[in-house]
Amino acid sequence: MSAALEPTPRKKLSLLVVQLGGLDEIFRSLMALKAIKHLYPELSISFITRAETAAPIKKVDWISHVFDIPTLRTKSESEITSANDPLTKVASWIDQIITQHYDLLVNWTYSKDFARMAAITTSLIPAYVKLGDYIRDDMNIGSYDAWSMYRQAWLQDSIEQDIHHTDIITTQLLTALQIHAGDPDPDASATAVSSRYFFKNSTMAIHPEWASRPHNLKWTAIHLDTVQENAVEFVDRVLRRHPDQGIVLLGESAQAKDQAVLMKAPRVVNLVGQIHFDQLTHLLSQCHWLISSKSPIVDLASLMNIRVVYLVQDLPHYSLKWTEDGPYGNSHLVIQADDSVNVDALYGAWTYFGSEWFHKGSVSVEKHFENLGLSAQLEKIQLFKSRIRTSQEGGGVCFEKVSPQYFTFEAWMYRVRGQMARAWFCGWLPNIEAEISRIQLNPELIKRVRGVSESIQVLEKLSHEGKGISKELEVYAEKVRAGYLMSIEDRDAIEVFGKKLMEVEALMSRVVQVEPELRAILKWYQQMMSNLQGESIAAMAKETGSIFDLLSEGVELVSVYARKTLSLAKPKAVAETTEATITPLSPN
Amino acid sequence: MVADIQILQGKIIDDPEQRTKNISRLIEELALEILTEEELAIAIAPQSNKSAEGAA
Repeated sequence: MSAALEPTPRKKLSLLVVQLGGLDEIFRSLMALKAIKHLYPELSISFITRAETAAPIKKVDWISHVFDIPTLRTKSESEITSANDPLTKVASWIDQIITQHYDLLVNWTYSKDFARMAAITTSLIPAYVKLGDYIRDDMNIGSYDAWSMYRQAWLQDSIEQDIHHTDIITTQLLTALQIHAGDPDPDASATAVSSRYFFKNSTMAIHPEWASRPHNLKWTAIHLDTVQENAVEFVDRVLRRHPDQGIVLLGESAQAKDQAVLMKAPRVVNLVGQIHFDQLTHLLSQCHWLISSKSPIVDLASLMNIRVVYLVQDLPHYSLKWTEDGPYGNSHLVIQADDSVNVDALYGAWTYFGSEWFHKGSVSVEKHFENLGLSAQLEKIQLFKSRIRTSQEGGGVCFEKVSPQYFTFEAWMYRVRGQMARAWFCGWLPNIEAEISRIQLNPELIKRVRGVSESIQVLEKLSHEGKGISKELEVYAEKVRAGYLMSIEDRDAIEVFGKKLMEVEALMSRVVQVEPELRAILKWYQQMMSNLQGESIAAMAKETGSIFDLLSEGVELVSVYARKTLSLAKPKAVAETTEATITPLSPN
Repeated sequence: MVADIQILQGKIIDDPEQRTKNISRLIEELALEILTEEELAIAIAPQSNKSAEGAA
């Protein structure tokens, strides 16, 4: 393993990306790939996608090939011949891809509707290294790599963690490339991944109504499909108070069309339901802001470096949280409210950050809301601004609270969990002292951290015990290697080890019942255990030992965070006062 | 990092020609998945004619 981690000369490799998800996943994949292509310019990248979502990928000039999933339906039964029989079509399609001999294959499809199709495709196509989910021999879905297991364990189980989905897939592939292809291009300078000119565009792609707009205005695009209830009043306020601003309305739904009619004005361009992809990218490239809730257009705007005002909506059917698939990049705004975001909050935030160039932070957001007479509205929302962290801070996008923040225990754990993942998969360790020093301590936080410390000590012991049992099982199983046959005594002994491991898991569950914020550790253990790949008991016991090693590392990191946080809360000794500094009372 | 590199960095398959044991079954499953999606797409087409322009 150590030899594989030595810097090696870069190899020219080919990569196949299986992305059968929606446009949001396509755009996030392109964001990750652009960063990777910059570091590995020789990498040849191909895509497998669905025909309905292929158009944007075909507009990217550094993508070598795009394979569409074949169409299998025939118009009538009589048209079915041996050549267009569905099985023959699928087999020929797979054969055509196999002939390309890809070095790496990564499955980045997470959309529930297409995850199984993508996993089957991933299993069918050979490659030297595979990442992502696949179909195991028992026809269930498994994961090839730890980042994919992490995603299954934490992201799909609504465990709060602070790594954006784009950062997860970027790091997953980048780390694999560093190992298999060598270190990145040393000449690759730091450069912005997103760009207003991300897609190839033709000069014919300008919508006539957009072409005839007043050119002396600053434009804000509003995605009416997702921002319905606030839009009419917001646009009215902008038109009345900001003569230098124009609004362009986007969307497709019938409700959006009805609403757009209500906003007819000289400085409003209504393109609802009448714009294609090329026209959209051209238009967005001319806008200062996009206002939208969850939609692929947010991922597109991120890719094109257009600032987004993102209104968080509670979408229970959607598996990712806004911190994981919200706008990516610097200086986007996120507004979250317990109920829905009202127009005053939206207007206050948009005007504050829209005039940053003018006030340069000399006016606080609280003061700005107060000047607008909207102080009460600021209390109803949480306002975040996105920032790309430096590599010293762990990299990736983060969302920093702009409105006043009371630092909760949940927020503390949220940060610690993200750092745990970075330590596990990237070997990167945070500067804990610097991080802790920024935390505003409060009695409730101290009390909860003290409580979690006790649970952590139990988990440390359990991880150690699990490691010991796995090792004993491995040694025992090595001794009784006998294929499918073993004595009853050996079978019973192995069963005892198995039961002990189950007891350890049961005890970990009890710890999590006491401290639910540690559920992530148990979920991670369970996900890893369901992905054991060893073909013998000894091999699986060895893998189990590695899993307990990882758990110990994670638990140790939480423990260090807890210790250092609590040490800040300890009362500090005041410098002793010497007699010389005491002014004697005057006898008079 | 202590875990096996293969667990962390993806399955390393030395023989590119090596394919899974269930090829014919997987091809059938894939065809079935594609056909089901096509049926669904036709069923929902009147309500939502989404395409690559769906971003807007």
